[in-house]
Amino acid sequence: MSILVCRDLCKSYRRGVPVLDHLNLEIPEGKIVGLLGPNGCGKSTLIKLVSGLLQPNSGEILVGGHPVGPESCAIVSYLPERTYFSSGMKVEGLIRFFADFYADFDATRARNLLWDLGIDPTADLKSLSKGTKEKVQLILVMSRRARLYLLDEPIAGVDPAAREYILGTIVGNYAEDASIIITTHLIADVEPVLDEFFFLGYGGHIIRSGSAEAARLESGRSLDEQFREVFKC
Amino acid sequence: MKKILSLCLAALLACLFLLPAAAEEVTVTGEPAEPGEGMRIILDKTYTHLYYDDAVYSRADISRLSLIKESRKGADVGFEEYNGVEGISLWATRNNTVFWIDVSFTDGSNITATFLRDSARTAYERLLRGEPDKAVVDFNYPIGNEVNIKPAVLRGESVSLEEMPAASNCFYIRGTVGDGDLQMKMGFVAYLDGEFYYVSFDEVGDDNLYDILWGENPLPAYRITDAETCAALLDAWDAYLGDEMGFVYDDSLTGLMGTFTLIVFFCAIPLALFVVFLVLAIRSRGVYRKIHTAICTCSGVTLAIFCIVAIWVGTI
Amino acid sequence: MLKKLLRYDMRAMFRYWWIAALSCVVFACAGGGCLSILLSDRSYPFFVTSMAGMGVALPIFGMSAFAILSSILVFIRFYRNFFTDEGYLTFTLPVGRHQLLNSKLISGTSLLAATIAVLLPSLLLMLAIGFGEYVFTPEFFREIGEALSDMWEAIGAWSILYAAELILLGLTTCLFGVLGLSVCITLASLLVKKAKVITAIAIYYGASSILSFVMQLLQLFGLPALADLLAGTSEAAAPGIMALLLLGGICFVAIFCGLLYLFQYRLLDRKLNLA
Repeated sequence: MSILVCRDLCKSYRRGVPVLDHLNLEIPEGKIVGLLGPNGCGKSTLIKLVSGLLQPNSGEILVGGHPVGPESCAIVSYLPERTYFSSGMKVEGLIRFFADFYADFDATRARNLLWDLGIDPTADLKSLSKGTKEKVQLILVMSRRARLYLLDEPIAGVDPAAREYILGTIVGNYAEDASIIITTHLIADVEPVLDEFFFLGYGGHIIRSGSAEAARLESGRSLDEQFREVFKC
Repeated sequence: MKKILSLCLAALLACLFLLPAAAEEVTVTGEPAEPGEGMRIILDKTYTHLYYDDAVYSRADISRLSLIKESRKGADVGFEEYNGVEGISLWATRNNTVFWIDVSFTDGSNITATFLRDSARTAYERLLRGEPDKAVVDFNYPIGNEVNIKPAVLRGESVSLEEMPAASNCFYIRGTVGDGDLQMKMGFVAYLDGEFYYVSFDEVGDDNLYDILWGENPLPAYRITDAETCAALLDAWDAYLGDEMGFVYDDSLTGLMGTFTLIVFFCAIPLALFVVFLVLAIRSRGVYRKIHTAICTCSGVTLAIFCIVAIWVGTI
Repeated sequence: MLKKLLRYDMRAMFRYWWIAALSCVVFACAGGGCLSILLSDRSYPFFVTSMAGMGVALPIFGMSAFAILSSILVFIRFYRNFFTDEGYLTFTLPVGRHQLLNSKLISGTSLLAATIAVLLPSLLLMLAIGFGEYVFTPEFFREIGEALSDMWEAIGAWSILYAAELILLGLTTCLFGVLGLSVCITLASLLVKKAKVITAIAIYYGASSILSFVMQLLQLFGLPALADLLAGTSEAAAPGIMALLLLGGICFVAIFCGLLYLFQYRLLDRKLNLA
């Protein structure tokens, strides 16, 4: 069964310039899926449409059988590429906030993960560094027992050690039957964790998709190499 | 050189001869009324009499004459030094019926006095008694919109006004005597329900229009019944309303605009919104249906209240 | 979910408001003290009277600043929570758009109402301290009491209804103000990419000017016509008609609140593009 279904999805920011042009996509349950493509191809736009931050011009999106709305937001855990917390809050306040609004949030897991990183729950968010804030955000997102995780460029702009930690947290904390969609253009780092992939071209067209393992076996090359070949400048 | 010296000597001798013979008088020279003319006023040393142009003026209290027109303010008058006088200011009415002087002395003291021509005193007392020669109603707008009335027609039919006229419908009436130099506000003419009424300050015992209009007792007044006077007043009233002001001050038009405004804001707009949002509420779903229903309900209630009030007030 | 949202919104809006409210009261007391020094028969040193003279103006500025600050707090909460990076969290919560909007509106209206509830007594406090010994004498309170009892004799229980309706009208007007602010911010965020705040302020002042013009027309023509309409009513019917008119006024303002709410909701629901 598909956790995410997009039918004939169209989105443009300006007239005559479609970012997503009649996109059809299905994401199965229990898979880690890579949404891969060059900058500006519509990866983040698709993620934002699914999470409810953008409204499509036309088409349909179903998440767990629900159209985008409160029901879909309850089963989707979204990690944006920017920090979205109010700087006036404390870390513990954020944990309580998530616990208040998300029935699937595991506060104990979140506190344990923060403890592992040495982050004081009573600390003010504005006193934390940018990298630490991003880690806090990731921990809160991954501490939910969601059915679909949307991670928009989770490892962009972080050092290799932090990338390893982030990917380890992602893989080690999601539910087995949940799906994860990761958008990135740093394919080499995420390739080891991907079950499936979509190469998204400009206009949101799917150029290639399928099982990551099968694609590697078939071509004898890594996804990273295949990506470079497909999106050669 | 000889000629210049001769001229100076002659001027000096002329000044000596022109010194006032009476050491008890101050001669004040005011600004000329016409080019080339001079005004020469003589004050006696006690400052109780003034002499100008063969007329004698005596000190008088003219505080009730509130509409005196002033002319020829002589702030920089010349005067011949006398008795420590430092400066003199001089004013006069157009026809020199009244003079004002303000004399300041070198010791810091000053005298302010008004002088009324002795020959005008009788007319002045007649004015104070409320027997002017002429009464003038000043409609303020446009400029010069005045009506001259014979004082005798002011006191038409004696009435007692229960309903106070609006202040914007009241116009001061001033009595004048003689050449018009002496004027006094006698009262006001009010326009009420198509009639003109005269209210006398003396009879009411107050000369403040707003205090009178805010009073709680019925207002003693006279309905002006003279047809010619009423016609003149009506013409002036129409001119007062005018093209620009009539839009605001015309009672009937204001009333119509007011009714129209009430109908538009509290009847037409709610009715239109009620119909539109009733249709939208029926056709929509979810949150939009609730919002449309709420707007429809509020519009309906507003419309209903307006209709109830209109009917209730209309039937009481 | 609405209760939870309200809790967080109220906490965020009122966090700094308390300090401003307390400052307003302190300013009012200080201003009243300065006023009483100036009006006192005792002679104070020149320095004291000079400082008192300046001190009288401070509460007026303080109260004005407090009123403006309250609007700013509502504005900031709306703007930050909806149209900045915080919007990524707000709009991905499992709550309906209308609940998000309702929470902001309720907390904003409460804040404005609370501001008025602090401003009026502060002003009275300042006057009481300043003019106290000249005005607020036992005779003054006796006259107030007599006026109130006269009013009660004249209109009785209607006065309670009027008070309730006036409070409701005040709340509805506060809601209208908050909705106006939120629509301006939303429009500015949708129309421009940069200088959203300035654009929102410009839209707000433009709309306020148009509204003022319309209100002037209503006052110029409508009120005298209404007064004429009511002039002919009997004494017995007047209280009932007054109550109905107040209710009509509430509903009239509520209509425009509803229209603004619909516009705002539609913008958030259909037009929001938090990119």
